Amino acid sequence: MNHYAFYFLPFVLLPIIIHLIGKKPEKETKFPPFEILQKIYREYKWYLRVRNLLLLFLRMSIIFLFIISVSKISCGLLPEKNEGLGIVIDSSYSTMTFDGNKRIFKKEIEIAKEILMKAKDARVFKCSDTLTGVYIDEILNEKLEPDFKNGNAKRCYEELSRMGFSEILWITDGRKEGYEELKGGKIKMIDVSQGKKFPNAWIDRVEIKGGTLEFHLKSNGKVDVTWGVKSGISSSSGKIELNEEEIVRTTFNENSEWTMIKITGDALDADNYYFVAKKGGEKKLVGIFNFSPSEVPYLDESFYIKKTLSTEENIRIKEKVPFTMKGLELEKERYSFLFLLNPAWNQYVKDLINSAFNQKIPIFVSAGEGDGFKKVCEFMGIKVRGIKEIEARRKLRPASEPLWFSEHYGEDIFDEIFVKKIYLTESSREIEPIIILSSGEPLLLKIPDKNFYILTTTADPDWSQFPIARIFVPLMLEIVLRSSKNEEVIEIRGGFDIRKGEKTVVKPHIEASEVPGIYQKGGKTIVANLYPTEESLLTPLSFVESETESPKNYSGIHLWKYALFFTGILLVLESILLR
Amino acid sequence: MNEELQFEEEILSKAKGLYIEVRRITGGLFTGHHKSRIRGRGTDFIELREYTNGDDIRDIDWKFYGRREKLMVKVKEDKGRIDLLLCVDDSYSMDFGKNNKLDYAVRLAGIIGYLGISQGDRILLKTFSGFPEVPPSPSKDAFFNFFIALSMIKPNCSIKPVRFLEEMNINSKGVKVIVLSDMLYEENMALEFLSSFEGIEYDIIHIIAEEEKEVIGFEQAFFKNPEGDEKILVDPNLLNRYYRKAFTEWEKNLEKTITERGGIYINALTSMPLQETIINYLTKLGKR
Repeated sequence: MNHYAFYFLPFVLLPIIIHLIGKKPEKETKFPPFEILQKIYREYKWYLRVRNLLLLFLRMSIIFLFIISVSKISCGLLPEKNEGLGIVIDSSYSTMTFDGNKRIFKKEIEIAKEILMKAKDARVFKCSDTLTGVYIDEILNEKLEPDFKNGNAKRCYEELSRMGFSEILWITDGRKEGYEELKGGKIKMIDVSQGKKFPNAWIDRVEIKGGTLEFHLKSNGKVDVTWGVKSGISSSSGKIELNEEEIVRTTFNENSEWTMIKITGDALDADNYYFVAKKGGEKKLVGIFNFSPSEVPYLDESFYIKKTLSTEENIRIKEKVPFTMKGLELEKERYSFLFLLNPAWNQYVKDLINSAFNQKIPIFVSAGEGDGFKKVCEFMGIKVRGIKEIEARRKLRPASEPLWFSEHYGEDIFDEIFVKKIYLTESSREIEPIIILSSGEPLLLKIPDKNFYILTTTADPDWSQFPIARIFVPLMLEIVLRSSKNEEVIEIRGGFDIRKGEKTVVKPHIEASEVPGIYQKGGKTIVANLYPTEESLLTPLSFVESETESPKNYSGIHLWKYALFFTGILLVLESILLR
Repeated sequence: MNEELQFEEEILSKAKGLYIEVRRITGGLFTGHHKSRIRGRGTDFIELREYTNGDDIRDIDWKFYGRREKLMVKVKEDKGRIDLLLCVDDSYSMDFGKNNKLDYAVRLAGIIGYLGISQGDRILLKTFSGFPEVPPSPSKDAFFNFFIALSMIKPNCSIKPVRFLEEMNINSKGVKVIVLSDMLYEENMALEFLSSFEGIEYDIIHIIAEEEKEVIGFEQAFFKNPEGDEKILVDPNLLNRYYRKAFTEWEKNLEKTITERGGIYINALTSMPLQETIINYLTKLGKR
């Protein structure tokens, strides 16, 4: 289903609007046989009015039905009879785990691609914490990254069931949490890790007691962990054999404004850090001035920024959209950091920027389709040469001074990112590039003396996939937490919650498992399944066989096909009426 | 409208062999093309018949009486002359069409007038507005007066006169009325207009512009009565089908009514060449 088509539903009212605002002719035509015309007019007046109303209704119906046709909506009145295949890729952060040299998530994508090639009527979704499964068939070949939150399997499953898929294939990393209620029925699981256990370690809690820093490490198995503590003044490290829970104590230098703790050694090494700073008073207020909010979350930069900042306990976020931007906000609220996303260019924005400078509030500006971004840059003395379209995938490279988190993550944090469009800025002494694409175009810039950040691209997939790149979360945290205006140093916590609580790994049935894919069972084509064991008698289908076999007898009501048919009928009716 | 009337020689040469026929015999004193209703007075001998009481004794054929001793009267025929009253509708409704209706009517009237004068008839010109008026005159100047008057005709009035003949005090004998009009009267007035010709020989040349037959060529607009203040908003695309049918019916009814009342009806579409219309008209007259 193409749900974007429904955004065009207001167009149904177009015939009425045209009728209402349509100019009444002021022209007068002298016509000698006026008497005859008038007689006819009186005779057919009511008939013509009814005919006009009918035409109006017909035209509205045609537009409505056309939108329905384009949407490809189907009515799943009898979902149990439908035979479409929904493939769900578990995109929770735990799929960042390495299995050998490859991340679990990458393996999931490969399996999804293989199934998608063989099954003609399959759709792939990413299970994230969005309300609906994100339809990603078309971007499987792009650089996809897991989300940094838990996936909401139940909600995703409900949504896919509503869409009428008879069979739902869930490709997961083998963790069973979230899936217990979904087993059986029409859901099948593919355990990509094939039963392998990847014990993880994480920092559960940090306490500062006098001059001692105490951090609690937890794991869901036996794992050798290397820990490191670094501050602006000193650093220390050590190794520990972690089994379920251990406490590590080290000295805490109170003169240091910040201290970072990180652990390495488990398969999932992405979120094992903790950032501590001197605890301050109130929470930081971050203002997100979103000048072109999108109803589709993954098209909206603000969506990603909010998600990122919401992991911080000491940050309060206030989002403003054009409708709520009234008065000079900075006079009313004590902002510590401002985001201006796809800004417009008007007096309000000028006042906002000037006021922020006066109060020494850092600003982060990101690009967008409008020319406001260019105007803001020019206002800041940065020349913008225009938009450049880049076809190839580019690697990021850090500017001369490495970012603090790159030390923690290593260089691979600057892994590939897909950037299609960026604004080209002219270099100058006042501008400090923070991240540069490997081809030389600056992606993130800073005017140091004004604490002004410029992102030359945006979250729109037409522009880049930057907000789902690995670098995005730590980068945003870095910028906001370290630049935000606040005289007092507060405690800042980094990392994610994903592995809190009891974690178990699904016990696989290795003896019964086969390679995930498409199989034949009882003369019927079914999808691969490694779990549960009753599917063990599956016979792999050859590639050719699976290609020629019709994988789908979708028996739901294809509303869009009926809509297309009736659009045609109504068009014929309209042309008859117009004759 | 063309101020200077130019009548193509071709039209006139084609019409040379044709005459404006009258259906009634004239009783005029002057010589013309038409047969006189009074037999015996003329010069062309037709027949002898027996003398009856009341016959003029000057008509008795005395030679025949000398041979057979029977009173017989010579029946002779005289070439008569009629008054042609050309009645041109100069109401505002005639000022319409790419080929202007009034222009067309005036040109047509010019040709008919020329033919009438050529065959020795007296020409009277009358417009609905009453201006300009050409009084009947047997003089040679009549020809020039007629054409000068024609060139002065302009759209001039909103009202179509119904009983103008009565006002003119026209004697029905020896007069033929030729009306050049679009006949866009209200229904009752049209009937009254036609009934005013009772006892008079009349022809109606119905002038219609091509644009009047359909409304499809117009944009959506307020259609206005050129002879009044009424107007209605019309979408020609919607109304054309019904209008076209109604217009055709109106034309047919008009022709039927005129024919039933003894008149001659000629449909003159302004898109038709003048020569075609005039030849149609004269041919129709000849057939009667």
